Formats: sequence, C-alpha cells, structure tokens
Amino acid sequence: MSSLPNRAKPERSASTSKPTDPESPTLDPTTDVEEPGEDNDADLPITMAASVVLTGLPKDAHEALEGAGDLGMEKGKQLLLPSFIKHPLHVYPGPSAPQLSQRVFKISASKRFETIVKSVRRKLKLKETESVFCYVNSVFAPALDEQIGNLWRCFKTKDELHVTYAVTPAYG
Amino acid sequence: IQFPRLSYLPFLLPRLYAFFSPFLISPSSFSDGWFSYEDVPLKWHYPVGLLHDLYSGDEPTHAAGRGARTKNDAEAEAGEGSDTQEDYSALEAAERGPWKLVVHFSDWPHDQLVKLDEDGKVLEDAFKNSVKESSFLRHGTGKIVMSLSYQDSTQLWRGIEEQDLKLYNAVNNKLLSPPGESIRHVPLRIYLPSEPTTATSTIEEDAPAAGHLKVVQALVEPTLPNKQPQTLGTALNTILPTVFLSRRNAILAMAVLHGAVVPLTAVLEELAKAASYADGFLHVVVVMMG
Repeated sequence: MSSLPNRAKPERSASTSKPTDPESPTLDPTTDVEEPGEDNDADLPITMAASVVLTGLPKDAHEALEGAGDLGMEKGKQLLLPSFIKHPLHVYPGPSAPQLSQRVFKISASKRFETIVKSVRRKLKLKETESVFCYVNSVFAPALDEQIGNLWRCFKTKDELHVTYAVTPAYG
Repeated sequence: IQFPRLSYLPFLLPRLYAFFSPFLISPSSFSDGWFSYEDVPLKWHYPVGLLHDLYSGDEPTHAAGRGARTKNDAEAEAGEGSDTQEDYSALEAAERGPWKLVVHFSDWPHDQLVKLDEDGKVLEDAFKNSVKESSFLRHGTGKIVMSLSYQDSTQLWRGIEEQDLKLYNAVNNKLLSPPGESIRHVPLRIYLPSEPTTATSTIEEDAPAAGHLKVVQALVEPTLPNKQPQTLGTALNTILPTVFLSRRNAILAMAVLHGAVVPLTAVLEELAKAASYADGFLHVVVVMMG
C-alpha cells in the first residue's frame, strides 16, 4: 500500500461514481457500488461543546489536523490510504444466499459500510420486509457507520475486503 | 442518574420511559427512545464513556489515577420531541457537572441511527459483532471468538446488562489470552476531530460551526520492528504523524481514554489489557490543545 501515488484530495468521491444496473450481468470489476448523489460519508457530526476548542486552535495545529487520518503522508511516508481511493471488494454469497452475477466491486474508502449493505439489498432485489446480513471475513458484521477505509485497512485479504452476505443471520 | 462508562445508553430507556410516559403526547414504546446532546443524536452502540469523551467538551482529567473508574453522571432531561433543550455554554460544561442529555421518544433520526427493538436484540448484536471485530484484530483470526460457546457469549452479554464484572471477565479472559495464541494487533480505534467546515469563513467569524469527527482504525502491532514495545505515542505518531509530532510528548493534541489524558509513553499492549472498553477496543479520543 505504500506504493500508491501521492494524490491531492478529491472534491467529493460521489461525483466519480456511476450507476450500476442490476439487470446487466457485467463483470467489470471497476463498477462502483455507490449510487450517484448518495452522501453518506463516514464522518460524524460533533457537538458544539466539543467543537469549541477546534476554532481556537493555533495555526500549526490547524495545519496538522488538515487531512490527518486519511492521508498521513509526511515526507513520502504514506501509511494510511487517502480516503478517496476506491478499494476492491469481493462479495460472496453466504449460506443459502442467492448468487450475484457480479462479485467484485470497488468502493471509495470514505463510504460507510451501510453503502455495501444497501447495494447488496438492491442487487438482490429484496423487499422492504426482507433482510440481508453482511459480514466481513465471515466473522463479524460491522456497524453500519464504520468506514470502508478502516475496514479495508484492517481486514483485507490480498488487497480485497471480503464481504459475505446472507438473508438469514449467520456466524452466531 | 449515575451510569457506568462501559455501559450503553439504551439500558437507561426502560427506566426513563416509565418515568416520562405519563407526559408523552403520543403513546410509544421505550425502544423509540434515543438521546441527543446539543442536537447531535448519540450513537447508542458507542459506550457511554466514549460518547462523553467525544461530545461533552468537558476537560479530561489529568490525574491518571482517577481514570478507569470514573463514573459518568448523566442526567437525563425531559424532552418530548425537541425544543426543551437549553443552551449550555462551554463554561458550564467545563464545570464538570452532570452531563445533561435530552431523551426523545419520537422522531427517530433514521438517517443517523439504527432503530432499536423491544427486546434489546439489536443492541446485543451490535455489541457481539464489535467484540468479534476486536477479537479478529487482536489475534488475526475469528477462530477464538467463534469458538466461544453459546453460553459463554450469552454470559458475556449478561455481564454487560447486569454490570457484573465477574460474569464478564470470566468470558473476556478467554478472548484476551487464549492458550497458544499471541497478540497480533492491538484493537485501537482513534476518534479525531476535524475542522469545522468554513466555506464562507470571512462572514461569520463569531458563529463557529460544529466540526466533524473522523474515526481512524489501523493495524497496530504490539511491538515495534526494533523489538521495543509499542506505546500509545509510537502508534499515534505512526498513524497520525502530523497531529502527534512526538512519540513521547503531547504537543498539539492529547489522547483521552475514559475521561483521562493518557501519557503517550503508556505501553499499548498493557493499556489494552487494563483499559479496553467492554467490546475489546481501546477507544481513544484525540483532543486538540488550544
């Protein structure tokens, strides 16, 4: 991951995503799972009480915070991935789950896990009343607000995040 | 109300609902209850102590001794719907009184929170999955947490529900140090504030905008390549080099855990054993120094 190019921060990753058509069995691994205009980046709002200190920061602290966390590229030492890079994602059907025609997707790191769950729902054409459960590495189901970048960084296998879906709860 | 930092907000709901239900306009259920502070809905799947560290704006305690056992005074205020919240200045918050939250029993913020259910299964699932995630991180495999018996995992949850450390620890120790497994990574999650978005910064200088929060999670090994133990400082310096310039001294920001400032020289593995939240994570909040 350290070999990735050093790029500037993007405007907003959603603008680069294209809609996916569940009807056409495309195998293009670069298809995004995001819907255009969907704005569910993983950053959370904080309260005024906790923000007060932020506005009174000295200049150097301001600069330090800028881009911290998703870039972390000090002097060519890049340790964390920029949040806009699209991560490969491998989706597997779990026990007794219907198959998907497409298995590999790309998703930007700034999105929340929720995006994957929503996308799987859409692709399986589930009704409102039907549920889907998505697991990482067939072990745990992340909270819906967890950031893809974090999950990918911590749980990838050969640079892919493995997500399993099932229509009934699995993996006790 | 006194409420332990390690617990979760929804446990308060049945009690609060019983108290407020005569005053509610539309009948609802306690599982419709959610909390907010300064109009920010609080995530029920975060432990209370983490929420307090993140949102209250209270000064963290510097004396390390008080840390882990500090109880969090959360005083719930009546508030059906909204608009009953008063303004709390930063000054009041700094006085470290009870943390005043607003409880709502209507208008669930669906875009921000997952709905709870009557018998608490949603909360239990969220907790168990968080435990699984931290265990996977710790040992690099899901084997350990998956091999817990049904009884064990139920007991772990009962330990949380009943705030019974004995019940909890009996199972948690199996997760922390299973025989024949060494720790691969320390489950560490960092909460970083980011700049208020000041698109038109020139005009409204007096009205500061609320900032955003970024969650950063990375793989952190318990020892450094040079065989030295990983400390909180070395980990933060690696993950957030611009914020934590030094491995030893807090220059721009402090690391807060359980309401207390943690010295950056603390050995991470020890910290994880002694001061993890109930879900196995070290939830460290980065507080910038003004």
